[in-house]
Amino acid sequence: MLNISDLRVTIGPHTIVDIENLSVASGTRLGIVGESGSGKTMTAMSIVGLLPDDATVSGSIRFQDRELVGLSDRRMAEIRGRDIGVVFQDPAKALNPMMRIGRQVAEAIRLHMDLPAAKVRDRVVELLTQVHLPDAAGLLRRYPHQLSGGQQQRVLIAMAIACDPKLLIADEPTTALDVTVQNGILDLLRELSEARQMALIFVSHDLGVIQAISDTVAVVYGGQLVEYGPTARVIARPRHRYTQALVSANPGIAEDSQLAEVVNRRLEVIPGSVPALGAFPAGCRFRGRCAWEVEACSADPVVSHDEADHFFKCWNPTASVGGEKGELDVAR
Amino acid sequence: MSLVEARGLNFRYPSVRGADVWTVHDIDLAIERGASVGIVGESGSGKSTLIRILCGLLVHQEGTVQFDGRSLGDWLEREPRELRRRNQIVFQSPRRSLDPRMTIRKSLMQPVLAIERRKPGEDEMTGWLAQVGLSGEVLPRYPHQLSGGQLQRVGVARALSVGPEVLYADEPTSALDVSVQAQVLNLLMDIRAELGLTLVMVSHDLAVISRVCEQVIVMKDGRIVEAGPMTEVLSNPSEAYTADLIKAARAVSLIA
Amino acid sequence: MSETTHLDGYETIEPTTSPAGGRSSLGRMHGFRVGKLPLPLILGAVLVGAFILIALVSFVWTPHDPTAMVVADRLLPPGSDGYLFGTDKFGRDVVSQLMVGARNSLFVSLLSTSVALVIGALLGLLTAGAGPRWRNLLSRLVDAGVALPGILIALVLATSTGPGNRAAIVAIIVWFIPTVARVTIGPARQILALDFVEAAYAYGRSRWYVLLHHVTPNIGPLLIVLGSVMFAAAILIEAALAFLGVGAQPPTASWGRLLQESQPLLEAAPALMFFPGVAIVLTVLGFNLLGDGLRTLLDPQQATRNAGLL
Repeated sequence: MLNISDLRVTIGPHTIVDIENLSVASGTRLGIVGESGSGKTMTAMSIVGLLPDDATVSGSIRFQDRELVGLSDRRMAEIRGRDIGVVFQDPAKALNPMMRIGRQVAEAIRLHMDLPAAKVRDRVVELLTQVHLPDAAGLLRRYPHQLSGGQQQRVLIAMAIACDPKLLIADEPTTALDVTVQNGILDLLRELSEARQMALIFVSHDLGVIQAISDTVAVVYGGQLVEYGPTARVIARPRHRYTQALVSANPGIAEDSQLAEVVNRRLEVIPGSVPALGAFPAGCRFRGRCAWEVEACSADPVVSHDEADHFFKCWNPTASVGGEKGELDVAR
Repeated sequence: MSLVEARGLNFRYPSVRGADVWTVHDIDLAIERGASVGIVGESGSGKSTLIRILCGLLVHQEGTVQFDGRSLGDWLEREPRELRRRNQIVFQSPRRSLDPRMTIRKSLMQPVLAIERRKPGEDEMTGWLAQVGLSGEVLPRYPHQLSGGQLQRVGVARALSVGPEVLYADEPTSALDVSVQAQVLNLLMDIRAELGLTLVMVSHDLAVISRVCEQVIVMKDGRIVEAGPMTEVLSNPSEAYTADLIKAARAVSLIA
Repeated sequence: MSETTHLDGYETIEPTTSPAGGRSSLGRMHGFRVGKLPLPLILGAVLVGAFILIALVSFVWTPHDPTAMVVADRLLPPGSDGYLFGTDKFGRDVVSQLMVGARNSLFVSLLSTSVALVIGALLGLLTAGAGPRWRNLLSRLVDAGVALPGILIALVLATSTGPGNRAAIVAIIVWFIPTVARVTIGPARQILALDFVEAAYAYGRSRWYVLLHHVTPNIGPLLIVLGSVMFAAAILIEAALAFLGVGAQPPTASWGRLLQESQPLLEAAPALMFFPGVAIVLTVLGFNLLGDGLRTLLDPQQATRNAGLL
């Protein structure tokens, strides 16, 4: 349903996103994971054209047989909100503090749908009920500040799905929320995507969250796709060293018997920080921060396959199940 | 004698009306010297307010809080600077915890200027930065030129500069990437081991607490619902609420 | 739990929350480049610079004595020999009068604006830093002050203390203080709610120290922009008061008075009204452009957003 090929986003001389191939099918959930500055948000936002003014996009993004690259801002705005919903990170900033909830959700409907005024209200209540907000009718007259962060995020999700989009892009929608509230939002997104056969692209820096929501994961670093595959498999058996590092940086709660052992034990870290724009090294972008660097890493990595649906771009990957390194897919 | 002790502590913000509405209610706790205590709870549970009372930033209305055997009121009246020196705090947002219009050098020298009334030397400041894994190169920079992880290190260095005994940390990693979070948690564990600090850390994320804190206090609606050794509370919670928190954290854990 | 994650690397270009994206690279407080100054700023600076220069030059040189009445040269049209903009009904040189009028505008506006800025900002800081009870009280007072009709204050002052520059200055100050305070309170409270303020309390800084050393520098750009816009307003008010006869009195030259004196001669000598009018428009425009340009350059919102404060 969504097919990205040879997507490049550049700002000035710098390439921010450089993705050869990425696709999302109806009803599936893709997680895009990476650190801040890895280009994960840019990758997701390039789909809906929400990029800085000075960014240029080349390549192809096909969405339901329509080419999105090169669309005018106006056409893109039509698609965004109607065919593709977007949910942002900070619900408090994404809602207009001066507008009642009912009107804000109604706006989202009216913008793209031609409904008689009487029906709009019913639709708003229906949407708010679908995102499991209690007392939806009473909520219409409330202002955003009267809602908790989790409730605000639910309102935003209601707005994003108002026109039954085929694809929902959620950019770190739970980062600003408590863990307990976060899980509620994750459950809701999963439920909506299943019930509506709606594809979901979920962007996060936290593999733990990605694991809970997505069935496929794309690991992004330096604007490139470094590993891609079924989420459970990639997390259980990461092949790229960057993915491996992300997995081990996640604190997690150990098994009960292990609790005493892991407390006060240093966590594995990824040394250094994501380089500034334009400061990524040539060859493998993860060079300089990687503990497994070999000489070959100064050349651009090629795609290796583990299984048909699991590939990665690493010169010195972790051992595969059989103990051997993944075979280089020279054909690409 | 515990280093920090609270008995029957009640607190409300001045803007809150109503005789029995407390932001933090009926708190009894004792923190031993050298302990690492995690306070966990959701937004609005009063956990951040509680540590602000314990370190003397907010003044409670009812009950007693003692630091090193003396009440906080007594400390604040007679030796406020000594209380500040021995209790320091690190905040949630690294960007908000440094003045955007001050260089790192200027921000970093503030506590020593204010508490010891002297200007620290360049070598001294470089030493503080080294302790948190930063080089002196950041001194002339402004906060917006540094990454979140670097800024949080500066925040820790600033807090440590006056040689505190208790370091309070209010959600020190929740504004950070998971990868940077690991760095900051390691830093906190390292300096605690090295300096014999007492660490009191607030977090909404039990996973983080489970890695850094030997004691855990669970808060809900301004009250303590459960407290004890971390391993016991997590493996055998006595309250349904604690069990819920554990379940939520496990759902996004990669280990379990 | 409100802080979001925009940390390393691309933060200046990665649109984290705002769909608007694309932040201007201007607005950085430190190390902005001169080559990229916004056009309004340059235009404004040129106009304001010319205004100040003319006002200063008038102290040491004017083409003619601005008060010298040459009866033979009454009401000469612009371009007459030796009188570029002509003369008025007493035969005084218009160029010289305009130059001295600029001096009066500058004097009145500079004094009134800076005093209002300092007192208003202090009042705003005090209000923002006060406890809830005092803050509410002071906020109400400031709101009431903003609601007062300034021109009426000026007229009342002038009738009670007598007209003149002093009345104009006092009136403008009283008029502006509540506005400055009102504009200061909100941003100051936002700054006070930030963690670095709490950190300062945690290492024992007093509230006054925080207000002066942390809050003031952070709202400084706001005050600078506000000051330049108020300066433009002060020039207009000065001219208006002089026009109404409660500001500068003869023989002090003022643009407002030049306008007023030219009124009866509108048909006979329209140029007399034209020149002071243009002088006022250009100067006010200059200060407004300057303020606008400074806003782009120093925008405190932009700076705080860079710092992740908003």
